[in-house]
Amino acid sequence: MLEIDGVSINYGPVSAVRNVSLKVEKGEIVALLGPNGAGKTSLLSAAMGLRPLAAGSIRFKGEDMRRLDTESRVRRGLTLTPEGRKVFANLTVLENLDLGAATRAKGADFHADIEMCFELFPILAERRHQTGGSLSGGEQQMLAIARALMSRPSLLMLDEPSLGLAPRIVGQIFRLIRDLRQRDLTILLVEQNAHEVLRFADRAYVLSTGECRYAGPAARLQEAGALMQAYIGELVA
Amino acid sequence: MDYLIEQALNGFSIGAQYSLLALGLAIVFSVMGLVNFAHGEFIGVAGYAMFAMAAMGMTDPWLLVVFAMATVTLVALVLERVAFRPVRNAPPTTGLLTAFGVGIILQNLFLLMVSPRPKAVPELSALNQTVEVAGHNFTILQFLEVGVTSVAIAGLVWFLKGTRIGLAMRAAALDFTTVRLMGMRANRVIATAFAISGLLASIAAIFFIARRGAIDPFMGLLPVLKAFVACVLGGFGSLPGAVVGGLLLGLVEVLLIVLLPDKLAGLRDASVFLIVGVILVFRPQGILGRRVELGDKTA
Repeated sequence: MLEIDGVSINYGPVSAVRNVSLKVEKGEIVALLGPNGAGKTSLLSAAMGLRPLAAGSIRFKGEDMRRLDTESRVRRGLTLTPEGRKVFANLTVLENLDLGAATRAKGADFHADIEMCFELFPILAERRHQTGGSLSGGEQQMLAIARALMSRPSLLMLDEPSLGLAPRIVGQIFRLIRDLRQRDLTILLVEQNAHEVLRFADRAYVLSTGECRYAGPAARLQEAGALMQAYIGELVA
Repeated sequence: MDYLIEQALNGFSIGAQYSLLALGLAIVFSVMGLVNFAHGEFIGVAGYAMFAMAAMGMTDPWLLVVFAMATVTLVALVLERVAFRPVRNAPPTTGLLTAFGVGIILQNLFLLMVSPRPKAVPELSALNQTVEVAGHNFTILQFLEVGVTSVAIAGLVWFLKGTRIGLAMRAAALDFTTVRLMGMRANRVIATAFAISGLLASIAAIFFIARRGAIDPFMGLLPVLKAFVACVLGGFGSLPGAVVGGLLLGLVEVLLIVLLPDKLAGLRDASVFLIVGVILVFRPQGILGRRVELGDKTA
């Protein structure tokens, strides 16, 4: 579904990502792991067209994304829940969800989708007229995911959904993400919280200092020391 | 007492004009961080559009008003596309200089194509007729200014709360990148902001021209300055702040007309700015603005 091929990303003279390839097949949950500053967020930004590529290509459903702007990528079913949730703090929960459906007309299925979100996240239904800024961190993360679902994505990219959340809430969010697979969604999940994610991801990639250190089944990374080795790379090997 | 009531409405009606102009500045600023100092020239565009129509023999006031509003809105959209879109991602000073440049070009276009001297636009002057309400003398224009401005603000509130592009504009004021991640086109959001700012300015312009009955190439200069002050007073970037700032500025101005002896009438604008300065000493973030932490510069 998503094919990232030999991508490099630069911030001015600084190279953030070097020659990274990554593939997500339909129906998979793929984890993209790695320490802070590894280039994970840059890679997702580039996939959405918010960052230019210095090299390489990005294809989604077989189509070259390089010429398409962010808005067109969303229209084609690619969605990113950004790092830090980025809920619209001055808009109500309902208004946040409304904007999430910006690529679609406000027809009958719009209201059905709102109901679907409220079913998935009952707390949002209770808070529907509250502003995004007044929600707790966990609620904001739920709203950010619900908002992303409103665009009816086929691939949902989540950037650190567990960031800054209490462990109990993190478990809840991860369970939800797992359940989303039943909704015909493919998921690319960026996380620092590797051990939790590896329990339910199909495959995993590990980025470190802008380079790909591991690509393969998630299960193999769970073996003792494997993750450490992938993070630190040659040093241990 | 009579005089006071009459002047109070006068203050509100002048304040309404400032509010409309200030709202336009604030809307564009909130979505793209640009202080559009060419905003005052929308008044000139409205004036010269009406002047040109009248010169061609069309003097029906309604037709002129509609034509002026349509022209200004269109010009706002064209300016966004031609002048401001190319510098959208440039540093803020570039946008500011672009706005000044656009203003100077428009002023000189009026000057070259029509005349450097004031021209009469008397078609709307009938609005200055006095009517007597409960023993007080008002003009039709004053009621229109307050009434139409209220309707325009109500319409704007509906637009910002009830339409998706309106939601996007509010969201973009805080986080444009995430608005784009929703699949909302940045160009559409910004063009809409410009169209609204043009539309609001055209309403203010019509009242302004109806009061003066004449136009000149530099007529937008002082109003845009006042609108800017209204924005600062209300809290820059805040839309309710722009309305409150505009009204307050109008009221203070009229209050000074009432209070200042004739001999000191020339000091009116200076006194207005002095009062604004004093208010800002106590509320540097403006009346409805949020305080931005700029760091301690006292050493």
